[in-house]
Amino acid sequence: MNTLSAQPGLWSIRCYRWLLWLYPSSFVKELGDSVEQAFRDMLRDAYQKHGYLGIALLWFRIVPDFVFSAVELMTSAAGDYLKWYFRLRWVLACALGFGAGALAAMALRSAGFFDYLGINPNLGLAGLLVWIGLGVFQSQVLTSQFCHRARWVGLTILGGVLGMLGTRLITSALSFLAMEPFSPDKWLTWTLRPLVTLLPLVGAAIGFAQWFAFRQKDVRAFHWSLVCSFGAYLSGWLVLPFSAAMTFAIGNGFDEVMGTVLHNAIAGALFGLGTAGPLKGILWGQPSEPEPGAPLKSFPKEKSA
Amino acid sequence: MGKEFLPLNHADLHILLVLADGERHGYGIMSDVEEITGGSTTFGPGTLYTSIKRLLTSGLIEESANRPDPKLDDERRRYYRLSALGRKVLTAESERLSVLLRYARDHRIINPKAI
Repeated sequence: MNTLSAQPGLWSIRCYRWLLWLYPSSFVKELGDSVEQAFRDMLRDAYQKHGYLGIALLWFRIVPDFVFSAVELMTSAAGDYLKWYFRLRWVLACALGFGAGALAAMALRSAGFFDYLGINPNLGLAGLLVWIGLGVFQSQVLTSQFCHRARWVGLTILGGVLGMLGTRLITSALSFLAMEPFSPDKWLTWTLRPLVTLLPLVGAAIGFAQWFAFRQKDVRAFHWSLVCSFGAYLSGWLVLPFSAAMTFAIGNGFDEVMGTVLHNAIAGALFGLGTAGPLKGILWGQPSEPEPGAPLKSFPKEKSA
Repeated sequence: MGKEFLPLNHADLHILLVLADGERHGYGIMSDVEEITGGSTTFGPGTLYTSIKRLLTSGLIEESANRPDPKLDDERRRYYRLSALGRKVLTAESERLSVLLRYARDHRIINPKAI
């Protein structure tokens, strides 16, 4: 009896196929046939050497092997889930940062803090609170593994303030030159509305400043600035319907504080949505993991030994 | 280059060592690991292919386009070989381990004549 047509051999193969279904589907799709082939080879050798006893002993080896490898593959799949979870947390952090900053600014204004200091809240102090909120919440998601937390908060504030100053400088310069491309009577007012506030410039300034807080040296300042700039631009566009809705709601009796906080939180969430994917790529994407079944990276040809 | 992969885990190191000698299919790798370790290290198919997937992803090994002669072996078998990066990593890991072995020998943790 030296073939696997014997019942225990066939049953073993059938059982092993059932076990394979418990591995993550991507792994089975990519390597399932090879795993089964290796099992068949082992089974054949075990049977040829020790008959039925060999098959029984083989299972003592296969079961722990299956359990440990399945756990490894599943925890690896859980790692992929955590990457999605990271995106969600990042979007929430941006939303909470913007929302909490706006709430703090509204609270300080209600308490007469700005009047007490004799400053106009529209000159950037309210924005400062938003950058503080954004930095604090973002740093909680990134944890100390990816960034220097305190530095992240400080640099986010610095980037936000510099960005706001930059936009103010540009709008002042345009006014000084009597150029008002965004004045209400121009059609550009609507089509280029996000440019009125020059949000991409603020985003780029924040991204550039935050780059100094990344622990990973391979994050490129230009890339992260571009991502933040894009996120700010996207947020500026997509928040417009919400701005209109909130303005309408507040005009019709909806609580102003609640409306402002909600509007800022939505803007923050949109900013988070625009930046979460690239950020995930920056933090986990090196080297990037190919999709199952995708062609392998080509490496220099190796001399066959 | 390649030091970011160190230290290699147990299974990965054994697979790379075997592939340094030439292309192998999965069961060939398992058999050779068992042979070169005198039977002290054995893998099951799950452990083997979990490692192979990891090594493929990180570019330390690559799948060979060569297929066996259908008369001699199952042509569906996949063969794997060491990539240039894999060879560098294997060299770096071997050098790292040799430093540890030298320390163990110098401190008479192992018999100097055993190496």
